[in-house]
Amino acid sequence: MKENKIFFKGILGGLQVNIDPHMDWDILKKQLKEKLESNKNFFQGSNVNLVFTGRNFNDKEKQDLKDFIKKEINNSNVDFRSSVVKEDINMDEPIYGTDEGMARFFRGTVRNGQRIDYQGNIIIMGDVNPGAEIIAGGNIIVLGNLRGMAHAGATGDLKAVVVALRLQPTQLRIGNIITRSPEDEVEKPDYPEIAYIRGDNLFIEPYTPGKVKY
Amino acid sequence: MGEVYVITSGKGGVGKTTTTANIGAALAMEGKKVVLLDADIGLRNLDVVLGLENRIVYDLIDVIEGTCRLKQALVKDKRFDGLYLMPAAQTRDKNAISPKQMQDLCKELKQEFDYVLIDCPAGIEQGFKNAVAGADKAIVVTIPEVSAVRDADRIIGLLAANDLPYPQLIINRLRIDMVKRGDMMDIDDTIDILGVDLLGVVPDDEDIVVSTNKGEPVVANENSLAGMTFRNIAKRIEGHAIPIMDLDTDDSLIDKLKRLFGIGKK
Repeated sequence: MKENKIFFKGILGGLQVNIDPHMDWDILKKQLKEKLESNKNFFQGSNVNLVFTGRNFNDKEKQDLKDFIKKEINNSNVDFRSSVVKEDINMDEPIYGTDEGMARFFRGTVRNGQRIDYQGNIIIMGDVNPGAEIIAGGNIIVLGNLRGMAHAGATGDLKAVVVALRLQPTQLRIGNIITRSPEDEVEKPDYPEIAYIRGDNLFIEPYTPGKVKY
Repeated sequence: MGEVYVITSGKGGVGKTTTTANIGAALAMEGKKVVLLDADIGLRNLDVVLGLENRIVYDLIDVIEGTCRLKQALVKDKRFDGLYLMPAAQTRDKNAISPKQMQDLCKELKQEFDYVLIDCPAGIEQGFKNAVAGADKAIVVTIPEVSAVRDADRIIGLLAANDLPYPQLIINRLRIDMVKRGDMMDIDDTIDILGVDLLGVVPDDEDIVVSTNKGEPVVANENSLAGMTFRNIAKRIEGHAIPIMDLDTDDSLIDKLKRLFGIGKK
C-alpha cells in the first residue's frame, strides 16, 4: 500500500489538508494531484475551502499551489495556516458555541441552592434538583432528572437546546425566552425530551435520536 | 474512640430534637455510652424533650468559656444509664461559639463516649456551621412534604461542602394511609430526589406527642410503633442489617404484586 503523506480532514466549513513537513515539493504536488483527481466528483462544481496545514509555505509556493488547484478544480478558496498543527488550536481563544465548543462535565447531583455557570456547553451526569440552577452559554444535557432551572444559550444563542432524560424543570430558559411548566400538572413523560426555540416559541418534544430538526 | 453524628434537617419542626433524643436513648438501651449535645443555642429544646430541664446547672457556653469543667456541665439522664446531655445556653445566641471551639469540644467528648449526637438548629447559618464542624457523620431528618424535602436537599449539598458527603436519611412522620390515597409523597419519591441512603422511616404516631410532652423518649414504650422504628434505627447505626419495616400493615398480596409489576398506584 502506498504511503499517504497528505491527509484530508473535514473541518468546520471546509477541508483541512495536512501535509508532512519534510515532504519534497514535487512529490507533494504529485500526491495532491492524485488526491484531487481520485475525488474529482466530490470537488467538482462545489465551492470548497481548502486549508493547508502541517508546514510553512513561502509566497511563491502559496501562489504555485493556488494556481495548481485552480487548474484542477474550479470554485475553491485556498487558505494557509501556520506550520505546526499544534498551533492550530489557539488555547487563548477557546470556542464557545452550540455546534462546537468548550464543555463542562459535572458528575453527581446538583442540589437545591447550587449553581453551575459556564460559558460553553454543560453536561450533568446526574440529577438537577428543584432549587438548583444550570446556566450555560451553549447547550445543556442532563443525563438524569432535570427538576431545577436550566438556562441554555444564556449569552443570547437561540440555537441552544436543553436535553434531559426526564425533563421536568421548574423553569426553562433559552436565550431570552423564559417558560415554566404548566400549572395543571399532566402526566409526567417517562422518556427523554428536548427543548428548543423556533421563532418566538419554546418547543418541547420527545427526543428522538437522529432527528436533525433542532 | 466514639463517633460524632450531627442530626440536621434545614427546615424546622420536622423532628430533629425528638429524633436525637430517641436515637440517643435507644443507643443507651443497647448499652452504649451516649452524649446528646444541644447545639441550638438560644432555642434549646432537647432538655425539655428528655425531661431534664430542671437539672441543668452549667451549659455548653460555660464549658467553652472555661466557667466549668466538661464533666460538670453533663446532665445524666434519669432513666437510661449511659445517656448524658450537654445542654445549650438559653440566654446567649449562635455567635457565642465558633466552629473551632465546637470541634475541640467534640474531640474531647468522643474520647469519653461511644456516640456523640449533635442536635443541629434549623437553618443554614452560624448555628448549622457550628453544629456540623465537629461531626464525623450526618443524619438528615425530613418529613414527606415538598418544602421539607427541598430543604433537606439544600442541607445535603451543604453537608457535602463541609466534608460530610454521605449523610443518611430518616423520613419522619410518614402517614401510610395518606400515601396510599396519593396525598403524601412516598418513600421512593423522597429517596428519588435526595439520592442518599435511607436509615429509617418513622410513622406519624400520637405516642410521640404524648411522650415528648411528658419528657420521656418514646423508645421506652415497648408498644409504640414509632418507638420500635427508633430502636431499629439505633441498631442500624450500630451496624446491624435491620430491614426497613413495612409500615403498610393491611396491604393485600394483590396490591404488592401489582406494585411489583409496576401497575396500580404506588
